[in-house]
Amino acid sequence: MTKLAFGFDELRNGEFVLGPLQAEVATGEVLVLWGPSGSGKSTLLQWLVGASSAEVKNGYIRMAVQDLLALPIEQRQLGWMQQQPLLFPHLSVIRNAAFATGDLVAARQALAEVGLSAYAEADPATLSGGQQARVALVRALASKPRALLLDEPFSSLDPKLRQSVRELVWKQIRDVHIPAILVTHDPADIPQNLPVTQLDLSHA
Amino acid sequence: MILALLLCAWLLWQQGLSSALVLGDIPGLWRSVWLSGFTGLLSTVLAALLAVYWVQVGQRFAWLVGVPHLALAVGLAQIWSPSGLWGHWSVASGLLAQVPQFPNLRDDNGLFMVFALMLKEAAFLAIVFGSQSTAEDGQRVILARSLGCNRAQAYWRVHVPMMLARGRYAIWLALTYAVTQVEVASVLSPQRPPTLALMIIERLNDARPEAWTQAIWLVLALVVLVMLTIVTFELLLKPLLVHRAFGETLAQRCLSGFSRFAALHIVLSIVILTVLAVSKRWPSGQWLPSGWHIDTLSRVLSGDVFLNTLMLGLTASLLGILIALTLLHFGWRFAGASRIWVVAALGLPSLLTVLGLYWLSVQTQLPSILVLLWGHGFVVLAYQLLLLAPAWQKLPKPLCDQAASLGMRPWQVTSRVRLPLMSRVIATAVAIGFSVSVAQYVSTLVLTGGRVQTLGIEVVIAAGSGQRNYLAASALMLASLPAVVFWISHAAPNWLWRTRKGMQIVD
Repeated sequence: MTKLAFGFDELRNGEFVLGPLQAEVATGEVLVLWGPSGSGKSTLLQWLVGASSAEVKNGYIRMAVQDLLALPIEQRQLGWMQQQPLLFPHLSVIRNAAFATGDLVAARQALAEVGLSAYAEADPATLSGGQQARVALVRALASKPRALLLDEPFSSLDPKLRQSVRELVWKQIRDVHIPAILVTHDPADIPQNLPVTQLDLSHA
Repeated sequence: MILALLLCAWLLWQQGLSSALVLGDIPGLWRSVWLSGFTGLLSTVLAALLAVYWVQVGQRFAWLVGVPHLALAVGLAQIWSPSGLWGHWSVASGLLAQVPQFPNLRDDNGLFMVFALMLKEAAFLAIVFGSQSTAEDGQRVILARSLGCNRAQAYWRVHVPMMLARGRYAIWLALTYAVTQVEVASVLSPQRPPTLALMIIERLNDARPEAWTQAIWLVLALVVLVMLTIVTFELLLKPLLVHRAFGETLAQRCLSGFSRFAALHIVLSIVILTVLAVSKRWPSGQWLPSGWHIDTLSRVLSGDVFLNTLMLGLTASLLGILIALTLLHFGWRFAGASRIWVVAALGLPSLLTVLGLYWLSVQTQLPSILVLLWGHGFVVLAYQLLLLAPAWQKLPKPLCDQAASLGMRPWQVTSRVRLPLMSRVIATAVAIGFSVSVAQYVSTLVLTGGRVQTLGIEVVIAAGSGQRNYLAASALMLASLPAVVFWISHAAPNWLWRTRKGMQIVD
């Protein structure tokens, strides 16, 4: 069973300091990061994905036996969904979905699975928030990530859409069987039918 | 533009379509068409790529927008011409035995013109791209990297196409200018044949009726050429927006090196103008001139030409501000149909507009100074409205409502609340209007028939006469005037509001 394990004595981003901290997530499991605003949840996720300039003391990020910390962001293979879908505005929906692989056939199939096949050639700006979130999920999963990092991906959606997108995300995690880390403020975001570990960063 | 098209239609009605046969009498016409299209397209594509790079790496060349095209072209010519900077330095370093005596660039394909246009258009496009950038753009690039792209791939596959797609209309403007411009071409264009725009100017300066018929047909050909280059650009752009790029790292390194090369030339061209403007003579084999004096500069500064340029620029700019603020006060908005003429003024070939204005002036017998002010003011006002309208709309409405509730009439609210709050942006608009007016060459030449001499016209005349020191001094003044006005426009509000903390950030 492949696990994503990480830890550090100290993670420093300007004045902000987090740590010491150690955690691990098994495949098909979701690690939920709690904590008030400013407790470092997003900073931690950015450090994991490789998008942060934060300084770390005695840190490690391991996937099975491989240390990811020394790798640049593009080689870590960690799927990343943020609060905003951040679709590429110059590309059509299907080219967004196929961004990592260039495989349009697979992207079309993945879009069909999330109910968006009719929008494959559409301009992403014309999609609703929920549709954009689904495309972002398809795009992240198409890159065959070894783990999925979810930084409040449901918070910008209205309550009705939120539930359907949540279910879609959990279904995909179950299907591809990878570890996931979820940052959220909303207890309703926690999946009911997946193994969950919770970590409160307000004490870290 | 409407006037120009009416004029063309009327002339065609008078002379019939067969009059187009006069185009067949023009030697080198197809070569000229190719030269205009090729140099315009290549310079704009390079400028767009350079501008995107400048925005990404945060290099600030926005000030280059204030340097007139003509001055930059003269500076570059003085660097690269065989008897210019490299000629002297080649002899000084032992590469050549003596400085070549021919002053002109031998450049049949107009590559130096491409380089000069690229620098100027890149500065303009960098401002537009920068103003359109959002915080999410950087996040998208990082996201692309999390999806497996390395730094260069993320740049070429996400950052570049995103900017080019958003800034498409600004690129069209730059392309139109590059294909139809006269300023850079008059210094750096090959002469046999010259660009299409230069051919038109030559014929407009010719009193023979057949020359005018040729000029009108050439203007129509120029408009068609602009449309063709825009279509070609779009055809080139489309694959770039979706293709899977390759060789990105090499392309990134090339762009980085090219950017440094360009920056070096911007600085060198200003330095060489300054050096030549105050030098006595530059003996062959010397790194620098042997003697210095300011007589040439004094001659330029004390002449009518300098005064004409200054007065014309200030008058056009201040009139433009007055009209723009009046329009805004009475509810003009940069939206819908009212922005069409602004876009037309900025985006259409200036030759077309000038032709229409010239015809109108001939028909109405208006004094040439009035027509000249109209010609300058038309473009100046468009730029000023582009800058002032968004600032006007952003003014805090509660402050204006408060003033009205205290008994002020609408014009008092404008004069006592809006204008002081907008003082910084108004000052910038004055400076931009001034620099736009100073840079107007074609309209000054055609609308006054050469009777009003300005620094721009003087520079073109000097470029053909071989008076190198006078040319450099005139070009330096042409570049310095807008720079000084820009500096004043920045410093004056700071001084005016030095004791008002809240006014330090409101603009």
